[in-house]
Amino acid sequence: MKCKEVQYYINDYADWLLPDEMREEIHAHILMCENCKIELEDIQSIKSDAANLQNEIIPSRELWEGIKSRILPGEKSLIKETKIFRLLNDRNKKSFNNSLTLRFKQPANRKAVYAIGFSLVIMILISASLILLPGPTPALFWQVENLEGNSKIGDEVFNDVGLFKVGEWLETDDLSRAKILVGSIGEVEVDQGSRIKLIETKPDEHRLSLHKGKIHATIWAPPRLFFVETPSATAVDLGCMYTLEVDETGSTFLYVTSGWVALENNGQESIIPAGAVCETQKSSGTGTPYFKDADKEFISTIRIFDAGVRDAEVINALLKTNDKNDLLSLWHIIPKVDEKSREAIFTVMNKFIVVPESVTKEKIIKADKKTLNDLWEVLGFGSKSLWEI
Amino acid sequence: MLNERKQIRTYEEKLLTDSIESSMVREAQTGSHSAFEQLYRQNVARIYAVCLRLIADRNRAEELTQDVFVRAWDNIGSFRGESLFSTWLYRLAVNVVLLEMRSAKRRSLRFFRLGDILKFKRREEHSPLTTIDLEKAVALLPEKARLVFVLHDVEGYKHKEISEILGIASGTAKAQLHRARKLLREVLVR
Repeated sequence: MKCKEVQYYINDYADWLLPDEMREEIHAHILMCENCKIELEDIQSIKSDAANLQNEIIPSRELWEGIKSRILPGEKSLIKETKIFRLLNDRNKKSFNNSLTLRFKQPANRKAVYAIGFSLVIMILISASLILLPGPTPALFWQVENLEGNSKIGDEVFNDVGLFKVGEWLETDDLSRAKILVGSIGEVEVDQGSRIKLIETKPDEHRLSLHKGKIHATIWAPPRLFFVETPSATAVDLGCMYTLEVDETGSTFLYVTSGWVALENNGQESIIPAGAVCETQKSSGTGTPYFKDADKEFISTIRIFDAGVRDAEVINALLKTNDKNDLLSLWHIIPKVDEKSREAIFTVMNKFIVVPESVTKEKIIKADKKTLNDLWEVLGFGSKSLWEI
Repeated sequence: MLNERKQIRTYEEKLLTDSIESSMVREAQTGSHSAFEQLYRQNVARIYAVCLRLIADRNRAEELTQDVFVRAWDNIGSFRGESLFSTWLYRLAVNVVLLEMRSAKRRSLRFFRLGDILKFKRREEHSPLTTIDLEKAVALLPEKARLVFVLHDVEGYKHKEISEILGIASGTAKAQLHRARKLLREVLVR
């Protein structure tokens, strides 16, 4: 049998749909032919991965309220109306009787018209208040899987699956790990010794607070929907995978493995692309990101800079770089240094990149925000248009 | 031994779950909304998963999930317990999604083009394939190829069943499946 013929039947072979004789012929060919063998392995791998996809995905929002309103409307409104009518009828009956005996001498049908009119006005007012006042908050929760040991939600230990509600804390001890299914937008693995709180989950905002420990987040939602607060900054997902760690002092360590993350604090924002790291100390602005494989001396100098030492010696040490990737750090420090240092940074950057006409030395010296954004676009760390709305 | 115990326990748990499900269905059939809500809570993630994979659109999948449960409520009287309620509901979901796709196509003639799958980018190149990559790539497949792939390779339907559900020849279902796998192979294993 030739390759072309084998490839025609290869899916049926993978699905066990062929008669034995033909199956044996193809099997014999595959043993001899590397290309057909690879193709079969690829098909089997896709088949196996597809069959192992999760059976269940939790929707990103609570759907029951919408269903309930569609299956209950008749009965629900009937109950309300009955109660309202009963109340109003009782009241109206009294006032109506009093009026009838004491003041008015009107035909009964006219009084009935007034009573109905009064009832309708009250009903409209009550209905309006029911519509305008906020309804009951829908049950908001995420599913959590215990991966190892005994993770806890609140005071309750769970061995298999737990429900993580808004306002609750999830805790893992030194022997436990857990996985949070973030609605249908992603998942967060929580390492040993972590404490994390669910702050908010709604279609346009999913927010956790990491008090201590380490998480690995994988998010496939559009940018700026998933946030993790830490004592020193807030990590904003821009479409990514990342690891976030908070130590005993509340300092944050962020390492991005795919996509981008923004780290925000005190009105400052650092953008961390895949392969880069950002360390942020409590009670200071966001740290300066750097690539994980940067020169060790460069990383040490960044740490010194972030600690607040920003003199000429430190800046000059940073400007000695020979690695284009270090422009990530240099771009971030422009607004934090004096005008002379900005000019020096701009000169160094020109050695590595071709800056567009809109990016002039004068504008960089002023740390003009738009110019800095234009400069970012030519650094090669991803266009801001990918996550800016 | 441990596995055997686990299997027995799992089997017992399954019997218990089925029995609870049956009693909730009976209550829902008499008009109990709270019993129906329980059935919803037990099944929503499974139903949403199949809606999402077939329709490849999160918002529409959420709306369709709601439609499925509303229809289930309307028709729960016709459920006679010949299969599990969850199986009945799952089949209903597949029908609801396919009906919606047919009528949506009539309304707007919107359908996925072959070019969509070529826009697929892996989260991290040269790294092992992840389920996220696969989910994303499947969502970008041309519509018919996606339907057949999801029903066959993800949900485990046979070609004959797929041809009945989709109203296409069994050979066409096979051809679409092979096309889907070929496209996925090109973008995922390249």
